[in-house]
Amino acid sequence: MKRLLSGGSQTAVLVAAAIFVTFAISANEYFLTLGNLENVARQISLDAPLVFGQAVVLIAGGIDISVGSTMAMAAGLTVGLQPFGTPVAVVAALAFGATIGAFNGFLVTKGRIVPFVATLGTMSVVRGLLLTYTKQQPISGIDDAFTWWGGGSVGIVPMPLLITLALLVGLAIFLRRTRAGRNLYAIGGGREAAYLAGISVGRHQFLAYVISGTLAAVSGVLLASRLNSATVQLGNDSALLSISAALIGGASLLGGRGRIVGAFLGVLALGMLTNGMNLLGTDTYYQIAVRASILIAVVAIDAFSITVARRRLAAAAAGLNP
Amino acid sequence: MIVSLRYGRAFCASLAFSTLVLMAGGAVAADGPFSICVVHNNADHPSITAIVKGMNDEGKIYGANITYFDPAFDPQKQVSMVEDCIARKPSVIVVNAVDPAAVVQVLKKASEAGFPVVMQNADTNDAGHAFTKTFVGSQSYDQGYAVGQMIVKATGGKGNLVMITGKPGQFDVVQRANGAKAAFADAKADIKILAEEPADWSKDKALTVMQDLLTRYPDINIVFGQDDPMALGALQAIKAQGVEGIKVFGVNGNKDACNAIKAGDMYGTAMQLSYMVGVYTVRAAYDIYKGRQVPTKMLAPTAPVTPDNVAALYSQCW
Amino acid sequence: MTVTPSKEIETAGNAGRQGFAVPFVYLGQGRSGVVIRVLRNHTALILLVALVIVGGLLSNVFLTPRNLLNIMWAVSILGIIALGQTMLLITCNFDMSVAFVVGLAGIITVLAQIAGLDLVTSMAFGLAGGMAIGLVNGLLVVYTRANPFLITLGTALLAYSASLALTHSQTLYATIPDFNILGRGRLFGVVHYSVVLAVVLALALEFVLRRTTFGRTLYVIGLNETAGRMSGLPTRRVKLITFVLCGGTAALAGLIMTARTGSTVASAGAGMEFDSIIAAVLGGTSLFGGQGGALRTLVGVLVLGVLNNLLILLSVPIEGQQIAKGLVFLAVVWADSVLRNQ
Repeated sequence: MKRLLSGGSQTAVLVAAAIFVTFAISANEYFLTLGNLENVARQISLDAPLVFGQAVVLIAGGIDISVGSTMAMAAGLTVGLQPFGTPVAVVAALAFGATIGAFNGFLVTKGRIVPFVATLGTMSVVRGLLLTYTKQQPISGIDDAFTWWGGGSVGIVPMPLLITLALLVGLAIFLRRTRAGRNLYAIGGGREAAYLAGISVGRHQFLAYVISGTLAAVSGVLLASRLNSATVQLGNDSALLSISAALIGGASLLGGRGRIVGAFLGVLALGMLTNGMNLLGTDTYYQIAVRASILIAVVAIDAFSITVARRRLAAAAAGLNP
Repeated sequence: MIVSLRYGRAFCASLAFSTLVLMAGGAVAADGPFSICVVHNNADHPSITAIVKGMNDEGKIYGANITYFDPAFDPQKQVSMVEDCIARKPSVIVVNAVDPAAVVQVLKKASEAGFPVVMQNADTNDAGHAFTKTFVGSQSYDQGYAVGQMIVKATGGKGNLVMITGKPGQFDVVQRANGAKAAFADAKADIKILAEEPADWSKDKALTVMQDLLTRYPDINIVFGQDDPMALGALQAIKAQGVEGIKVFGVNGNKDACNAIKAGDMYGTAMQLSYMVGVYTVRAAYDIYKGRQVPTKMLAPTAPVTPDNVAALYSQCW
Repeated sequence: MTVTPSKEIETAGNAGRQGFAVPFVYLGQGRSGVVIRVLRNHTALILLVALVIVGGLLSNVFLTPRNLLNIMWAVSILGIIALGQTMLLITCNFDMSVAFVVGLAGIITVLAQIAGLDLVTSMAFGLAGGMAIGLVNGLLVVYTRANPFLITLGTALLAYSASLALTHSQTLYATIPDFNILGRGRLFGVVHYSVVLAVVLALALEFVLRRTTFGRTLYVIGLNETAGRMSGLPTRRVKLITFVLCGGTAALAGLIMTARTGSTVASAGAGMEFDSIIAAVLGGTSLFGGQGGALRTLVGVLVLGVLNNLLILLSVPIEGQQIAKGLVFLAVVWADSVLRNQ
């Protein structure tokens, strides 16, 4: 438990717990049913891979605005290429995600474009590709067996949740136990220091964007499986959702902080929030206002705690070195 | 030290949050005898507001407890919201499909869990019909077709048309365009479609787009705005340029458009009768709740509003 | 002469940069050649000229006075928003709430008119509403030092929910006919008032930025806020005022947009937050702060306007439009970045 709470995830634990308790008390007759908890699990595990990708990029000190459009395009390819065989379609979708990630990585590392701006441009291009590919019509899948991956369950556990948990473990090991993963933290924490320590900054940042693009595509594949269909409308909110979830999970826009477990708890918290408010029948106006207030609160608290921590460090340093 | 500080702040925020939600959420709906859970496709449009008004007015008569959800055109959110509806255990679920195919799986889930589903305004596909009781609404394709017929009639089947469309990729956009084109083909009309430009359902964008289209194609004589606000935006651009002889058509039948038709500025609109769609949805839901049979399709007629009949239909404009 | 950072320490996740990375600054760019300096300082202007030449060659109606006036009218609203945004960008801040402030200000004004208030009072209410959102943004960002991008996204959603609650998703119509002159009227029957207003505001802002202490303080905040504060500049108050002014310009744009169509809806300004930032960045205002100007931003806005206009005049299909806009945007920021690093 102590390990789980280290590294900034404690906010996420508390926010998730608060939301859970709030709805368990106020909407218990609907909220705490097996069926509803399974719904929430399925709903969040479709978004979770994309949020993990955003967390990796944030840890490396970047940001990826293009995740939503990449997810939508991957969903389109998964559905649209099914006549060539579903495995081909899935591989193509994942490869597309990796390519877009590489493109972002190229823009940021070689083009030296600010990540926010570079991925914003990519987003527009990918949306255009999607409009072209779908000819602006919804496209439907033909492989009914494939819907099991997003819609099916193993026992009472939704299949996408298993995939998400597998990704969670894999990414957590990657970030914490491999040299490349630890280097991402170092780069996010301070590029100059990382560079001086002999880390090839560009290559690692490139890797972070490729991971983000690929994971966005994983979300797209799962989504295509669940909906058995794809439209241009998918993923419009994904950038905001993924950034909010990762921040709640302890990541910081300054980079160098955050964990995959935290990102998962963040997306869980937001998923429960939406589900709980729906169960309460909360008016759309208030739902938007509540979500906005949480975003503001989380961001402000993150900033405030960094400021205070820095002041204390400075005070401590001054004490040591008069 | 730092950790404990973060704990403290987060805890305060959590408390504040709980209060916020409980205040905003109000009381949990009591397990009333007749309840309806509605998932819109996008609530932020006057035509949906009219449907909601119809449902609320009629719902009072039947003592219905109605809850509304708004996925804002996101098919993924819509599926999640239908699931949340199922968890609320309503008498009837009403769905206004964002994407006809994407809702099929969740409709199946609702049906298997024993909740009857009524499709409203935008239907699901044939695979989905196995899990729904009925469809209530006027169809986008029919609206497009009705406008197409009006255009053929008003122009003698000859002319150069530009279409101002909604957000690219949306179901209504494609269907209204297809309907109009089919009407032209059926009437063997010689109507040339010069351009289809999106203005994202925005009056202001339609104004800008129409200006550019007027510059590009000086020979435009027909404009089809896929909803009334966009048609009115286009009309304003035409007036600002002082161009004469362009016939503007819309879809919706809102008050503003009816006034413009009355004044002779607009040539026609396809009225959706959205209020009545809301009313009939509640009636159908009540019949299903009482175990009565309902027809599998309850199509609201699309009423063409033209300068000739606008006076008679004016009271229906919303 | 503006102070230009010659070399950025690129701190990824740039937005929260201030206070822990200090760009090396020196005045003038003696080392770089004249050509590069011109290219660097006027990327957008060159692009604009190129677009106009291409447009003139490919379309015989592009260079007509009517079309050029149309372009200016179309982008004047965005221009006014982008001016406020430019002030914030110079201080290394963002305002993502401008889009929904546009809607909210229009709605407040129209509701005030419906309630029977006179023209001036109703407009004052609308402007005050926008400035209030700006004040909230400023207080949150300045006093918690939070990331402005996300904070203002949050307040954007708050403004949107307020607009939805006020309108119940209905279209609202202005009731005072004279109000519409603001959006539709033309000076001497030629140029729209909104265009004149955008240009006058840009000139005024350019003057403020170059010739007043307030304006110079904005640059100092963007380059090195700590140093500015140490040397006794009221950096917090200036930032707060800048946020309020940005809310004010967005509200003014909202009034003009409402007056243009005579009606307003909750989602009226959707997309303008990104467009205003893109326009400012195209014009050469740096996302790292400390660099930029009002007239440059107007050039950026015109680039967007001409591009939108040409895509329709040249009958580019919508899919192509989206891709083209993205690629042009990336090309410009790439060129900007390459030139900056030379």
